[in-house]
Amino acid sequence: MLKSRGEKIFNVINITIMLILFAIFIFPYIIIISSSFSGERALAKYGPGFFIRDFSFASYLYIFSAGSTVLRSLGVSVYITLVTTVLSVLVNALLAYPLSRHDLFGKKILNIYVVITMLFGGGMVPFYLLIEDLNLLNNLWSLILPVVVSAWNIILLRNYFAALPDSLEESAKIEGAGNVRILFEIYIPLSASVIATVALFAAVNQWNSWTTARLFIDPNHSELYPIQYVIRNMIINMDSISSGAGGGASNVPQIGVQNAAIIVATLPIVCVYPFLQKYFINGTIVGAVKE
Amino acid sequence: MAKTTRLSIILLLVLFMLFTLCGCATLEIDLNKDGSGSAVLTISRAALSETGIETEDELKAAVDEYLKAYNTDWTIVQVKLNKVSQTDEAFILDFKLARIQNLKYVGRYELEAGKDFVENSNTRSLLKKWGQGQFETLEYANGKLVSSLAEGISIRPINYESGEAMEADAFLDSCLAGTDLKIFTFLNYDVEFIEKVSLNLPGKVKYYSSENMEITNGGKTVVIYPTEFEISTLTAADGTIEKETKTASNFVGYVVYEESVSIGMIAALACLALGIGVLVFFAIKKKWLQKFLKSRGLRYLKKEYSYYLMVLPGVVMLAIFCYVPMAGIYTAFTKYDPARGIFGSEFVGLQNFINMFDPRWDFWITLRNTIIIALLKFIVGYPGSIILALLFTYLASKKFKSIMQTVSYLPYFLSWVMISGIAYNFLTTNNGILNNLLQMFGKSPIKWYSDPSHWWTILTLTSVWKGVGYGTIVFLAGICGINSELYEAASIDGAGAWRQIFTVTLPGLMPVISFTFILNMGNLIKDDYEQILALCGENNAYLKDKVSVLGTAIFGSLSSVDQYSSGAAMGLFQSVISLILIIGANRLLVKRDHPGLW
Repeated sequence: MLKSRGEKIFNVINITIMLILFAIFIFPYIIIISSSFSGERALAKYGPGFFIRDFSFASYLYIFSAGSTVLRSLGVSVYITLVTTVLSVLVNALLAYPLSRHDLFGKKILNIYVVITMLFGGGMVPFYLLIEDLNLLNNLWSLILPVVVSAWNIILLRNYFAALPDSLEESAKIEGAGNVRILFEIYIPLSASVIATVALFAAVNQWNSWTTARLFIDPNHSELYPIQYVIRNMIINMDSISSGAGGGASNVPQIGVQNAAIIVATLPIVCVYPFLQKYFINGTIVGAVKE
Repeated sequence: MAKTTRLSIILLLVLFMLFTLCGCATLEIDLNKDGSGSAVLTISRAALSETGIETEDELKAAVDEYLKAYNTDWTIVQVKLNKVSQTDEAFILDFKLARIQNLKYVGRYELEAGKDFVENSNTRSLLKKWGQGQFETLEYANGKLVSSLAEGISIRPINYESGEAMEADAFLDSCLAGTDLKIFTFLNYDVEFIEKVSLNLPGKVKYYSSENMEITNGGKTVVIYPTEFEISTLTAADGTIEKETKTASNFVGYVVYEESVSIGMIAALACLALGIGVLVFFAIKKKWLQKFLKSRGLRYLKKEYSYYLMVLPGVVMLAIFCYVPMAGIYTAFTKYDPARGIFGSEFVGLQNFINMFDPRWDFWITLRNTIIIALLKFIVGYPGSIILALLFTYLASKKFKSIMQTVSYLPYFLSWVMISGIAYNFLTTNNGILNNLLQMFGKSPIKWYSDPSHWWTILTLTSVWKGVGYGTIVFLAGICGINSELYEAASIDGAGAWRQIFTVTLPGLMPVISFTFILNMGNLIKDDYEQILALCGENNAYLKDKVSVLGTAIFGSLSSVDQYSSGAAMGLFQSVISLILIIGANRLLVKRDHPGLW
């Protein structure tokens, strides 16, 4: 293919911009990684930087030492993420499947019931009072239960189920299968990609969430803190961001430990990232361009 | 938290009437369960005329004026003159009373559950002191202090049924604790003109205090007469303290009663039963049941009941975690009191919203920040995503394109905590990267975490870094959907890649662009409070002016029970505005032939 001069220039500019962007996107990770492998003294002297100085595993050893808060909170995060994901897929699929049947009696009301929750909410204060009244404070279920059902996921699943041919359901019914069996043995296996999307959404959101832990779990129950909240506390303590004083960080967790913790907490995301990229894109497009 | 709410009842009236009136009067009070009530004050005409009030209108004006002065502070609520009527000898004033709190200067009134009363060491000692004939010093109106002493008067509990008097200690330990009794205590000084106060209780008296009290109406009405004893008034005006001692009429005592089911409740239940009865009658007569059994819905329900079992868990969870908080919005219209729960708290109407919009508060700064930060993110991030999507499309190397996509989507999946940790490496004053760079170029370092001037930029840039790549997905899908014949036709016409962007790609992308644009406008009032909480911390006073947004303000309100109501009010404000914006956005979309949002 012949290319005009203008196109060539455009290509060069485009590639240049891309390279700059590449650097901007990659640079922060490199800094985090290299400073997590740097020795404490070098970090104190030069601060975080592009290169590993005074290579050491000290930060990681600190994190993975026995009884470390990071390790325990990792366990908490894994636990709540798994439970949330399983429940989320189960409950949302169970609600979405009947909604996708066009002869469902009361379908319209049920649809409105679901959609309203997308448009309007009670806000944080009533939500907090609810959790308090349910006696869920300082209980991991307070982090799990509220995020299980999501209108967005239900609509995603509903649209996908509705797009599958009706003959599937009809023939299964002739064979005498019940609705629950039809859902679990026919529809869910055929919807692997959208189920994966819902599962990944639920998992990533739960893994990344920390404000609920801040609200619902008090410092006396710090053994229930998920990883994100533990790291956040580390960062806050380091720089005393809260007081705005800045600098003078001589607290125990040094910046290397913080960065190592960030890497440990990000690793699961990076591990599932190939799947994320595939399914999230599906989900985002389906979600943005309705039905 | 212990029940420290100071409820006060109506004897307040006694006090304020003092300022305008004197003479013979009686007061009758109906006390409700929640501490609100109504009161009827009867004042003789003869006594009133001494103060120059002859007509009903004059009296009304005098009372209204006093109430106006009294009801200004909204936390001290609310005495309302309901109606004035007159007989030949007297004027009768009807008052309505909400619960009254923080009655600093008008004596001491408390209505508490017996158990809470006993657990509260302050109130416990109060009863003991009265039993020993001692009274406390307390604040009085206009900077005065009243210290009072009573000789030979001791107020001891009497069992209403047996008439036997007890010691305060034994009473507190054995009679009051662990039961559902309620105790109403009152103490007010120097009420000259009131002859008696009748208190109608929402239940039956169990114990009462010994001094000057009479129980009638089968234990439901308590008539209280003033007790005479000596009080000393300390006036602290102009820095000098003067002591004045006089004998005065004082109302002191307590009533312990057991709540009974109110007549209103019984009536309501009776009405409900009657209603159901009528309904059942008609249902049988008109054969509703048969019709219902034959209806399509029920037939469907019978056949496909499993559908409804399947949706049940989801429906229940939505009800609990989405719809119950919506009911909790009621908090925004109350002065929330944890001891009384959401629906027991005092209703204050729109007061929380009026307070919110008060120019003295930071709400306007918060609103400004919310909108400006959202706009900045939108102005930079939205065109950024479109341009990035175009650049991706025209990247010659497919491999490079997919690497760039992978790299640019990744930040979207990192939490704000992770990003704040990354940002910390750049911003810390302790050898942070940005400050090191500044110093390298001979500039002085900046204390990022205490200098608010750069934070709008920092928030915008971190948000764009996180979201710009992910934002391209929709546009890339849109570009994929453009008919490739159009490109061929354009290149046959001699249009290069640059021209194709403007003649084919952008016009073809227009529906997606307008769709997402309108969608984004609907999110204008929503803020990413997690970002700000993670990056700036929760209470960073230095940055507050620039980074406090609605979400962080609401989040902050949860740190103190006093602010729950104002937080709920802000939350409602945000929800309503965002609902309006979304509905507006949807209207626009439908008008432009897009599929609606729902």
